[in-house]
Amino acid sequence: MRMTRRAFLRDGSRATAGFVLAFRLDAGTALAAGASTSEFAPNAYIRIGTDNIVRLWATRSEMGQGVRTLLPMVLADELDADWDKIVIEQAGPDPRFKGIRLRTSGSGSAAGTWGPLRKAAATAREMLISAAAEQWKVTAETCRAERGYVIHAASNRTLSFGELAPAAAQMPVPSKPRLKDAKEFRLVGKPVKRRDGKAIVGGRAIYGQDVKLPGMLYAVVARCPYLGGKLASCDPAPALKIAGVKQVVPVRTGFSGGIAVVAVNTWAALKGRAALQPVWDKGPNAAFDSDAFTHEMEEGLKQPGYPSRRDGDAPAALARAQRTLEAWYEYPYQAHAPLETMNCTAHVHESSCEIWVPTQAPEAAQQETGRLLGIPLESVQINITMLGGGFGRRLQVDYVPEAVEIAKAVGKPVQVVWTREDDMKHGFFHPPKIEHVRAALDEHGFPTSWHHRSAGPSLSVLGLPSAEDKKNQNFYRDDGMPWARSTTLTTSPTIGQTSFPWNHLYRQARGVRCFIRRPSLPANHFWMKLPTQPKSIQLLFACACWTRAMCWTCRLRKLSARG
Amino acid sequence: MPEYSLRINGKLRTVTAEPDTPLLWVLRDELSLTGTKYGCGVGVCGACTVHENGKAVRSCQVVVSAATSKSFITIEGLSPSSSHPCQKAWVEEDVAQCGFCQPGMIMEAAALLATTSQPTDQEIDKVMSQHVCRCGTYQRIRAAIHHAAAAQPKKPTP
Repeated sequence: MRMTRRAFLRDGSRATAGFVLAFRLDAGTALAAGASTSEFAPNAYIRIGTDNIVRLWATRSEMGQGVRTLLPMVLADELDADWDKIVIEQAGPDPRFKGIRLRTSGSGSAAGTWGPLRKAAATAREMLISAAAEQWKVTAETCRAERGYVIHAASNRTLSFGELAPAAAQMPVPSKPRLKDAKEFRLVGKPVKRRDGKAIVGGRAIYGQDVKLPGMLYAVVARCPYLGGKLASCDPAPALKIAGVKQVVPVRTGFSGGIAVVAVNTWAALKGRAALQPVWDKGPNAAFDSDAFTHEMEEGLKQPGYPSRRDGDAPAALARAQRTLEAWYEYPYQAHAPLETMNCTAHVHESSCEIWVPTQAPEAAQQETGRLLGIPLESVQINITMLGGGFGRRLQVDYVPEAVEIAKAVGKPVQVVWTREDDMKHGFFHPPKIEHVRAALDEHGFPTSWHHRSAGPSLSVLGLPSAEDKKNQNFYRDDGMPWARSTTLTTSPTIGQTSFPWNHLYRQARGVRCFIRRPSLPANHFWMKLPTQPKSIQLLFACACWTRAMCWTCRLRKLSARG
Repeated sequence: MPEYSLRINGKLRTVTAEPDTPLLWVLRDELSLTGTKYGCGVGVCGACTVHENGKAVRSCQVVVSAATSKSFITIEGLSPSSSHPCQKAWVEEDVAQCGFCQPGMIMEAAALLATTSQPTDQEIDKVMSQHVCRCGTYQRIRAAIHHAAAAQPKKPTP
């Protein structure tokens, strides 16, 4: 990784004698293993105050992956900061973080933030040491940092980071700060307890649903049960008769159009919604039928399909093979179902808007809000709360403009809460698919050719088929094994969420697991031979191990779970 | 709307609510005790678990009009500064991932330990598998309950 651009910002409030470091790595330079981080610029944002507090802005959302513990660990080690003096703040999309990625996705919280944060912290450490060395009139090499202090051992002098902060802010920014060797880490690589653990077990962690604002009202939305449909008409009177119901508001944004019931508490809103009898314009998918769609996918498998990969002649190799295996996989629509249902609290002012939302995509939330209200992005403040699970569902921000629209109509802060039923009925479901895999096996049980056909809905939200899809579907290196894959697109109305490479990876790995369960030779022999196999086979088996927990048809051990 | 006096976390609290309002929403919306979570509203997920006269109940299944004669403890009132053996064990075992279900889990576990001081794996599984954790923290929940059980002062055998 190479730092190609660095901004060293002197804090406007230098009178308070803090110093602020902001870093930006240009897109692509910090690409870690993983498909989704290449187009983003991970970074860190540090502030050290004269009170010795080191503030660190988390540039990812906390959704259970522990990023708000990971980042302080990295910072404490590379900066030599005092673990107990690190305060973590949540970065949101505002001008200060312009150009900085805040989106939390692709399992990249650690991979995407680790490198830039280390550089940021190492730079800060060297500037603090330089400041101390200058003050003591010694060379920087004779000083070291340790747990919030810079130490000159020879003369037994120490200065705290806070004491050094004003002077450090004046130091030149080192062009190549020395990153520590892993051996020097005290925290990274060791088990560290979650920093928010105590707040969570005390019920004090604030998730989206826990936001309370003065004068706040609560809303639930009756959404059209047909994807692509909308509200035709609705008499608000029955809802307005419910005690506590304040207003009934039509909703045009969000996942699906509908009608919102706004009330003084959640229960009144729920009762109000239950009293409504909305008439729906069912839209283009009124006749959609799951069974018919499954049949369509089955028929789709018989069609030639869209070839996404063809190495050698897999069908011919299969025809010649002594031993083959064949498997079909059928995948239903699946909801993400985080335990905290979708929710968003919005307060719309005359020319600005403030939002509190558990989101993986704060930039998108801001853009959607700005677009809806016709106000500049700077006028939309997004406050990211803790997420009661994300799982990718919260990469979609449909529930944000919905809340904004309602809050605007009401003129007061409104918290829109989805019920569990809402969550299961309206969402960006994992797409259904039917897969047919045929493989030829050698005498050890390893595949020697692979023919994979799949049928499923067109993931039009992904713009399929695109060059990117083709690239992703060629996930495995071409190492000479005959390999063919084709995809048949059907006409499902469903909006898909999970991207193609993961679906295919999963299904291929599932196919391999079938083979593992039917060893032709003792298992040890099988695994011993694995390193001599082509890379693509090794990767397949690695994925097969990885998907053990995702295998829906195998028996689970007690108290284990799938996810 | 009628008024109700409820004993919550050892204090008498007066709330205004419709008689059929689930205790869950009274706790969250009226009393700002947001540690009790909404996950399903139909008594399935367990995120809203509180203690009713010492027993674990789903607060979404208790209506406010039937709650006045009882004493309730929420996660906020389980202990001073999160010092209940379960809460400490939960931190020690680093159970939480997203953490949303954990207050309900802890309330259930605390009620279990109150009646079964040294539960077996089977006894733990029977109770805790009635709660939903989408992140899949069940193994650590079980470990934390054993941890909390070991940390409890041993009761003399009768």
